[in-house]
Amino acid sequence: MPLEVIPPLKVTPTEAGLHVAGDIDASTVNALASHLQPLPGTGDVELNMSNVDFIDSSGLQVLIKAHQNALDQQRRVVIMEPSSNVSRLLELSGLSDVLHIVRTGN
Amino acid sequence: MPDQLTKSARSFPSELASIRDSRLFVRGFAEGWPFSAGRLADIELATSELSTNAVVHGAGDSFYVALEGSRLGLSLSVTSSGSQTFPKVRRPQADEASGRGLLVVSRVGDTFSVTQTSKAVTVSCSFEIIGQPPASTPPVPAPGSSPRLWSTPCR
Repeated sequence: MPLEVIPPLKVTPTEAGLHVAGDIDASTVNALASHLQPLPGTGDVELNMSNVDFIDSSGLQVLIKAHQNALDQQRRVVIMEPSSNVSRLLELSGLSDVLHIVRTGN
Repeated sequence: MPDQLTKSARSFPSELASIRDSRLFVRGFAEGWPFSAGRLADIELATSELSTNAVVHGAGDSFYVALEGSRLGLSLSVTSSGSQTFPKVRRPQADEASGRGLLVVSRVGDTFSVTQTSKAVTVSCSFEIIGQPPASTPPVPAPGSSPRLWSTPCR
């Protein structure tokens, strides 16, 4: 059976935006950035981050930039179902009240 | 949990892939201490921030991650070559990124320090173990008493 190389970060376009899974750090952040520059679609961009296992400030930087770009276009980037790692970083950076976040409690 | 001071250290090549490798290294060490899942995640985050700064801003081919653990907690230090102070003055965007990373480390750790010599910069942080540390030795039965089982101390 051939060895499967699993990339540390997987970004999948969805109808409403992107599904982001895996680790977001300086080594993988360009893959995420390339999907957000330019912003996909025309309306709000939903970023499903429920399967983000790791994120640090390199990843946060990309989210901030996307948020600012969206503002310039009267659009929004919405972080959907942030994993605990994402929530923790947003809380540590004081951005929980700045970025748009949606959590549907299950 | 070990009773005495335990140390571990590794150098990593100064490349982006090392950022994740250093997280795995530190995680492997930290899992020997009674940290919650959330605190282990914090330790991983701090490692990533410090390693990223070392790779992006450090001079030289490698950076160095040192760990010390005891019943009081764990300390993490990342050393990179270079005499540049944080933040650098010449490249504002790079400054912001490293500044943000250090801010995260200073908020997530219980202590934070930067030590600079003419040749290298070491950024350290520590994570304390809160609450009663578990006993490291099981109780000794009184002589002559019936043998009994005692449970191993929980982490």
